[in-house]
Amino acid sequence: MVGVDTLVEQSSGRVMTARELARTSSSHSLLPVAMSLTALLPQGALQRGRVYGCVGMGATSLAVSLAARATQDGSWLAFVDMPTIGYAAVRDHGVALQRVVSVNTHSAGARWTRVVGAIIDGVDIVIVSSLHCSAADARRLVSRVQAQSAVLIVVGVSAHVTADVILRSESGSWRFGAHAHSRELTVSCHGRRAHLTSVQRLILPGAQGAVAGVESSSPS
Amino acid sequence: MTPAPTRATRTIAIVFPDWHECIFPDDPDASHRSFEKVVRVISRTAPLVHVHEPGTALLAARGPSRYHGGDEAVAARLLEDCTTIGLSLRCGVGIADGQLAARIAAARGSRDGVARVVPPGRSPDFLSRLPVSVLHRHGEISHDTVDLLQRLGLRTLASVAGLDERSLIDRFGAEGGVIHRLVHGDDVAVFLPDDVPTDFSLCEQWDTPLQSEASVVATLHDSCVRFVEQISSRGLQCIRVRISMYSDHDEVSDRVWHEQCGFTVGSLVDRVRWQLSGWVDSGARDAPTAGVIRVEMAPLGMRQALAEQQQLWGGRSDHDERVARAVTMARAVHADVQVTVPQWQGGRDVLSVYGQVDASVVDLRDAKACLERVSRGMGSPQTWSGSLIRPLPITLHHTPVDVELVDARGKHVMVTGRHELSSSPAILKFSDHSLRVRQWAGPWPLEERWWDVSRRRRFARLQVLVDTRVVLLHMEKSRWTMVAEYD
Repeated sequence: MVGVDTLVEQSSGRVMTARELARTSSSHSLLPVAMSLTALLPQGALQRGRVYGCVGMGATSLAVSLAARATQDGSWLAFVDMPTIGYAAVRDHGVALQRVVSVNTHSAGARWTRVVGAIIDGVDIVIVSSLHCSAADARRLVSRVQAQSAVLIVVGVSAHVTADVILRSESGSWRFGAHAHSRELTVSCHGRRAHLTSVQRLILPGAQGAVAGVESSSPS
Repeated sequence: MTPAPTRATRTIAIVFPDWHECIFPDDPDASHRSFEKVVRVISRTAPLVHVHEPGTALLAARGPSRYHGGDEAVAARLLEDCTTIGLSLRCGVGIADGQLAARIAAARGSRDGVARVVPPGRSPDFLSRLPVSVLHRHGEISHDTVDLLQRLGLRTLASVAGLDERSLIDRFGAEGGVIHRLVHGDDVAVFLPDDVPTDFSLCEQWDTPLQSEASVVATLHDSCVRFVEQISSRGLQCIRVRISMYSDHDEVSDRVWHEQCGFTVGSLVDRVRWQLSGWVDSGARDAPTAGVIRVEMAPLGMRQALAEQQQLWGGRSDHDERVARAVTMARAVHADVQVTVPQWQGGRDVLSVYGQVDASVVDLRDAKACLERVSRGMGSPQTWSGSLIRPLPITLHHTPVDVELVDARGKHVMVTGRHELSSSPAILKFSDHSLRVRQWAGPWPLEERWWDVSRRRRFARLQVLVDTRVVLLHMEKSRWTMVAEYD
């Protein structure tokens, strides 16, 4: 357990709620990500209970590459309302496909919230393409993510939810030779949970389909 | 460990023999929740119902029988309760010494809708002539074990009862011990309320009442983790737990839950949720009028954690069970909700390398089967000559989008018989907008299933860099379509 002093310090003198206490004392609050993404993210990992947003070019690839490493360690990944997802590419990103489910809700509003809420209850990482619900429902969903210590990744811009951490690809260009070889993206990370904006250049997807850092993009 | 009572406990069994076939046969979660309604009705007559599985509830007979004036009176009362629920299911009530006799008496009674009471002390006689197959049907003994008993020539319960406990355990392990207790009626399945061991029990109390189901479940999650970890750290498993919830106005919801395989964190949290939602939805008469202020959990039954460390062997993990439950819950929201999992199919066309199968037909908890499903036959698919070169597109349009590809002079670009483009593509036209082609690669011809006249396909693939995006085009039957995007 964490000592009382640290708790008071961490919560800046405020008394913690039971939920916050549980979150702080939980030793499994981080989910690992690929090496090349650690420098980009606050704490160098995905934090349970947080909402991540991926926007700009390559948003889908970015979302999948965030989740890949954790699925190898036993976490499950759910795609919600993303029927176009290409599993072969997802596999090349390093996702363990045996722990992937795809949910198609065919609905919006309160029912959508219930379906996604149920998925959040059991699945560690949930990727949604957009939020088909009201602002109030979105808030409920976010608190459910916190309560269940899940990770929600929203691909694309959503009006109703403010992500804790937003990854935005500012610019990108393909290396195109005999075929589309790889793409270099400049990704910035900001948001209310990211104290400093960090900017990284990534190869996404790389020649083998996974994410890589720019330095390590030596020809294979 | 809890001491086994030496004498058979007088037990009431309420059994719906057709429950599994009729009420959500494919959805254990919904089945449990529906049975909660029945349990609520029963608990008005006799509190502290033991929920064994949907369709079977057990009670200690001592208290209720004394209160209602005898076994017959309480049995008749319970049968009446169950028939007033209005389920069009057969239902039986049985009272006997020990759970096996009570459950069989109840099942017998359900045939003609009467309550059966086996007088005290007569249960061994009642059981002795019955075939051993009742152990499977009413005693949760595995089919294989029962089969083996029969092949050993033990056809009636009397012959099984003749064996001593030691030899049964020698031959059948822990299950042998259960068989011995069942046939002798000294099962530990029904506990009298005052037998609660306090060792591992847990009490959570809050200063402000918790108003919503979600907040109770969320707050209790860590307690459940502690509860299960504490027990498993001693090499034990909890197979029966009593959960008591108190509202701020001192209303109580009390329930005993059974889990044959031992409670995991996930299954314990589920019981909390079921009990709570059942309590809250129970209508004006029983529903709590204030938030929850205290929850107690007391393990009533323990056993050695025998050979359940399956995860080491790639078996079930708590993780996978949680996912399986979440999927069931999501599907229960509405019939339109589709949950699928990827399945490897192979082939050179990137659109069909992976297919999807409905999650209801696979066991998500079976890690080995899940792995096989996505990797069957997958040596290294990238080496299949003719498959697309990595990186692969992450967005696939299973319904291809019609496009036009024209050269600088506005002429349609075609693929020649020698797998070359007729001219250099310059513009990619969608129905509502056009994009300038900056670079392209291909075309790569592909002929699939050339041996099968009805299913064979010939098409060419072309990668095009338009704007800053790369898209994949197919040319089939002189028509261009966009089938995938590299987002």
